[in-house]
Amino acid sequence: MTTILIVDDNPDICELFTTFLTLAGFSTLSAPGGEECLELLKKNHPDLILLDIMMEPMDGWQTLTLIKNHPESKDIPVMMVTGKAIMDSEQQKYSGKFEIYLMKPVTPTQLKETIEDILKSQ
Amino acid sequence: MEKKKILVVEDEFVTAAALRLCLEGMGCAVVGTADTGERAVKAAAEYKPDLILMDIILKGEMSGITAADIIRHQYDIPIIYFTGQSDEATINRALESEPFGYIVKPFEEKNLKSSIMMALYKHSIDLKLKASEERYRTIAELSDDGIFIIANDYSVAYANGSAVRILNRKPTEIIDKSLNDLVPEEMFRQIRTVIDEVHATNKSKQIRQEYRFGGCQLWFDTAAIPLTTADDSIWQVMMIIHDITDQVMLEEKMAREGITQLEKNMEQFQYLNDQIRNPLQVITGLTMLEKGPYQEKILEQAAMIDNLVSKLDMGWYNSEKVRNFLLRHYRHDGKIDNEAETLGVPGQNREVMIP
Repeated sequence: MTTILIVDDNPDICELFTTFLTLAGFSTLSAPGGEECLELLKKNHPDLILLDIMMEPMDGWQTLTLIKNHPESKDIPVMMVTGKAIMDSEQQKYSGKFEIYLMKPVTPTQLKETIEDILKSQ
Repeated sequence: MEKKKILVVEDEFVTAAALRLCLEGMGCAVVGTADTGERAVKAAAEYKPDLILMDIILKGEMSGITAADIIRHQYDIPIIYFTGQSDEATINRALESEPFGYIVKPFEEKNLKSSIMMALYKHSIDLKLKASEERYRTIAELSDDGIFIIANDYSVAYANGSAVRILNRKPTEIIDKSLNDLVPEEMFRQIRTVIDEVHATNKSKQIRQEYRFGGCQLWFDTAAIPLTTADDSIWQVMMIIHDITDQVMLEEKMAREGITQLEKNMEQFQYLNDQIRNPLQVITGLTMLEKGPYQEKILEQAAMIDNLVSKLDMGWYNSEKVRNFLLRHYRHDGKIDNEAETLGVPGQNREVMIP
């Protein structure tokens, strides 16, 4: 079964995305922050990560960099799901490290299809 | 009318006595007589007469003309010469000491009276003129604005205290010197252009200009006013210079700070947008899961909120364009450039991708 890791500091978002993805037939894991995400990745190897950007103390970009720096997790595709507009400079700086970004709010269909597209292209 | 005090300087006793009688007959007070130049100077100091009748040829070392010179400079008392001599050399020498009248002996009472009245009148006018000139000079000197009068050869005919301070030189190094030698070439060219235009049009001109002088960047509001003599033979330009450097610097600083504040506000919007989109995500997500009767309506409303939030994103995007424009517009030196790079938001080439 395909496992998706949801990283978001808003517990309601975690819960919602878990429901979306469970209904779409995915297995899910969730982490309320960057550090917890990295901790989880030590024992788990999800097929894809949904990553929020505006998080404290470790933000999404820092988390992304650490994920991609670690040999065990660097192959996992990452999708940025954010409420903040992404600047061109951010896009350039982290290009190649993440697959795509989606602006909240996303629909269940949008989320499902985007994930499937990414997994297919892997 | 108050009795006019008159000093008679005459070395011939008889003439002096006759003069006294004549003057007293006219209603004047003869406050004293002196028979030498030296005594005349002393008496002038002691009696402060309103007028002095002075014989040019006197006993003793000092001539009447020399005595008159001293008295005029020290006490500003009008003097009428009277003399038996009327040769041209003597008259010329006497005229050089700017007398208020010149009477040739023997005098007639009528001539004497009209000469005295003319001299007193002329002197009172002179005093008023001097007071008026002194008043305007004081106003000019005390002005915080620099006042220059520039002659048609670009030499400085007058510079008040503030003008002297602007040039940072001694007054003697400024007056009658060409502006070309007093300010940098570029600044001279700027000023010359203004002076030439004012002269050509014979109209006043107001300009705000930036100058580089003494390693400083200065901003002056300058009023250039044409001055001409009655027959237009001589022209000068008066330049009243108001230093607005501090004001301009403050405006620039405020513009810079305004831009910085704009950036900060926009950054806060970015954070806020993220905060707004999270509950929006939950609302729309739950609505779609629930599939209730109001789903469509709720999603429609949520879309409106999302649209507003996206407009704020767009505002941030547009604010960069505005900021770049302002920076280009207000860029006078390198300082603002550096500041722009510390405006806080990561990346210099800021662009927002609008989904």
